[in-house]
Amino acid sequence: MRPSTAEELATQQGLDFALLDRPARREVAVKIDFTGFVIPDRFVIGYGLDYAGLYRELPGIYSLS
Amino acid sequence: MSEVQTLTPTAKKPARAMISSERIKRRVRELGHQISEVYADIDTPLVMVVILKGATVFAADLLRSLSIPAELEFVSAASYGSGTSSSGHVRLAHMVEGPLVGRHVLLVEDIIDSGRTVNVIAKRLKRMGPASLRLAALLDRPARREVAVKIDFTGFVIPDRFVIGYGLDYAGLYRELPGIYSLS
Repeated sequence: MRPSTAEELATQQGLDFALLDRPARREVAVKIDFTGFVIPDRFVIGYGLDYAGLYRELPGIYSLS
Repeated sequence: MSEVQTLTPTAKKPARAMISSERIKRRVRELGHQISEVYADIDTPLVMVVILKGATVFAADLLRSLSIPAELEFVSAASYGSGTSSSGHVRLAHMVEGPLVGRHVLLVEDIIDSGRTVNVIAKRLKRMGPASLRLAALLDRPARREVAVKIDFTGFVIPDRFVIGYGLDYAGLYRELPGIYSLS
């Protein structure tokens, strides 16, 4: 099955790298071995993260609120 | 092209790069400006279709050098047949997810060699009805060309050497090197 969240992906593949950790929405325990940044419960875009397929090209990370 | 340096895989410190990370950075920025100008007036976001796996590093930098909105899609192609023989067929293992009808598509490849891979992918993409289809390639190695390919945005034209780094691999390795090195 196609993973729909980073958590599912991490669980399926045994991945433990994450650029961002947004613990506020955690449903499944995930051990992250290498964390870039822990962020608050905001929707974020940029540096590869999208909103409706867009904004991945932003060099920094921005919050949409 | 200036003198080509070779890299011994076991060496701790690689030899001088064939193309340094600084040169790549400058060139990718130039390509980003060029591409942004060409697509300045399109009314839907550009769709960058990146060919896995070699083009991912180039694509990540190219994407961030654009000043226009762009979406990201990935395709995966595998040549099969006898080893590295270019007479092998090309099979697409993964195709784009979103519809491309009426969209402006930029195919992004690390290196254009025989031209077969990019040719097959371009044909498939064209059948999806895009408004336009262009090709950006970090490297062009024309010595081995078998199929005519029009490259709209070229990073560097290189001689007939096996190259690694900046996403390009040797047996799956060396993609992490910030510059491009030749193995000979």
